[in-house]
Amino acid sequence: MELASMPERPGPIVTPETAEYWAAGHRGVLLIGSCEICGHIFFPPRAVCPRCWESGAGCTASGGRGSVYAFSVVHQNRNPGFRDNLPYVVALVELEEGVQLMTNLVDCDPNEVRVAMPVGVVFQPLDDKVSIPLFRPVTP
Amino acid sequence: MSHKGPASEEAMIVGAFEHPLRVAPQHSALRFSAECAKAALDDAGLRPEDVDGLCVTGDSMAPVYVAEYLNLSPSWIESSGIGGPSPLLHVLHARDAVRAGTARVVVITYGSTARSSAAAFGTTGRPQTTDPMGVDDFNAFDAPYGVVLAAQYAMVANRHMHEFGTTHEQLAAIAVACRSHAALNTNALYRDPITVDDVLASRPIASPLHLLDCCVISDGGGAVVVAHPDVAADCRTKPVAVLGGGQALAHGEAGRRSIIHVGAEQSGPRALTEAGIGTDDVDFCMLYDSFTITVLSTLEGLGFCKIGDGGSFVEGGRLQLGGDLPINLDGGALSSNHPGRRGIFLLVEATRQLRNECGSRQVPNARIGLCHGTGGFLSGRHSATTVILGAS
Repeated sequence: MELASMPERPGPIVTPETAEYWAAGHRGVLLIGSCEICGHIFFPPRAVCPRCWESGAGCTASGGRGSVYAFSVVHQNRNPGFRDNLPYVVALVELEEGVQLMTNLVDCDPNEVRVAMPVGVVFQPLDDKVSIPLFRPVTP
Repeated sequence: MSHKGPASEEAMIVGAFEHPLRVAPQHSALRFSAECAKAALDDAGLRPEDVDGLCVTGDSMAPVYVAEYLNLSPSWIESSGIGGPSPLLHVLHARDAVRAGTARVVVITYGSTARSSAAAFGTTGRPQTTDPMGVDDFNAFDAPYGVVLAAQYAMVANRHMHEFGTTHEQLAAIAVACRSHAALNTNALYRDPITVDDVLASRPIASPLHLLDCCVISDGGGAVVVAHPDVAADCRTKPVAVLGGGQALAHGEAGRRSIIHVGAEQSGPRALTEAGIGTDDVDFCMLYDSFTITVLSTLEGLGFCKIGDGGSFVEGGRLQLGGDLPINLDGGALSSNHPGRRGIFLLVEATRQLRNECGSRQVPNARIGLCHGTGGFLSGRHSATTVILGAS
């Protein structure tokens, strides 16, 4: 699957709580949740820390590298944006910071994907404000 | 270990009914719910005027609509929605209400036109919403990626294969077992026997899951009646006791989830402890089989085998009638029916098995049946409810 090969995919609904995350993607930065009170690193980012429950949890930049934790090659999806791009790879990627996120793997043959394969982030712009993180194989 | 048996004041399941239709474009969901409620009451020998409690899942206002359709005025209502297991949760709540004296006869009913409405549960994602009361904000982190429901379950299978060497052939044994039981159920949607090779040869949906690893989509409905033991004593059916229950939620754990661990690991032991039994005491299981991997993970989580041993556990006919632990005697969602919220059918079949009225698919001498429902996404946020039923 080529990068930017799914231009019709649905963009995320951006809320005040998540706007910073999507805007950072547009600058080529992958943010992960980081609590300024207790130091917990988490994903997805949110305003209340899921460890100490204090409000005002922030974000920090991830190095953007990790490995495939689990994946599935999707062969059926009738929704616009996906139905003309089958098969594609859905994956949980575990970042080096220790948290997982959902993504697509791109620039690779779906038949070649393996659990534990090293991957790095790339960004696909969806409009003039939002870019989404995707991952592609990298050399370890 | 022998179970302690129901206390004399415990609520009983006195009526059960599963709608025979699987494809019914002329039916509404309300009609399914209404017909099932009536038939479950008829089964018990009760009348509409006996009913004071109503549970319906689906829309959060569903009980109001079903009550209006039937011109019923219940004094105890329940509409909890946690996906597929909701009717199992309703049984536990109805039991508690009967125990507390706030209800005496509770109807739990469900109806859906999933098939005729062309609902593609497994191959669409959960929609994002801008509902001001919505709780779906996190879906924005999945929505751009085409994470269909089947892929959410498939990733658990993928990870299980990676960690433990589990094979697709082993997962397929679960689909084969369910189909063998569907062959004995004249109402089941698919009844022709299948083999492991048939499952592997069916078209891929979301690897490693193929078509025959995925549940069917049907129309349909079902209902059970939970009643006070004084009421049960006058019913024409042999009452079935609610011996124990357990509830649990699972989720992404803020990005640190081990996806081979499922909610059944918490709800199962809670239910077994309450019932005062061990897994060896269970004669059969009714397990929500949205996908083959759901069953394998559930069996591990409930403690029937160790985490990671599920692949070898499900082989060799163990899950088929005549095996050590027959499951899904009606054919399950994999072969019989799945109009969503399949928890209701787990209860109906378990009740009928414990009343010894299932004919050619009857588990001999069935005394204890375990029902377990999984709702949501197995690899992420999901709900789990376990209900253990006993013959009287």
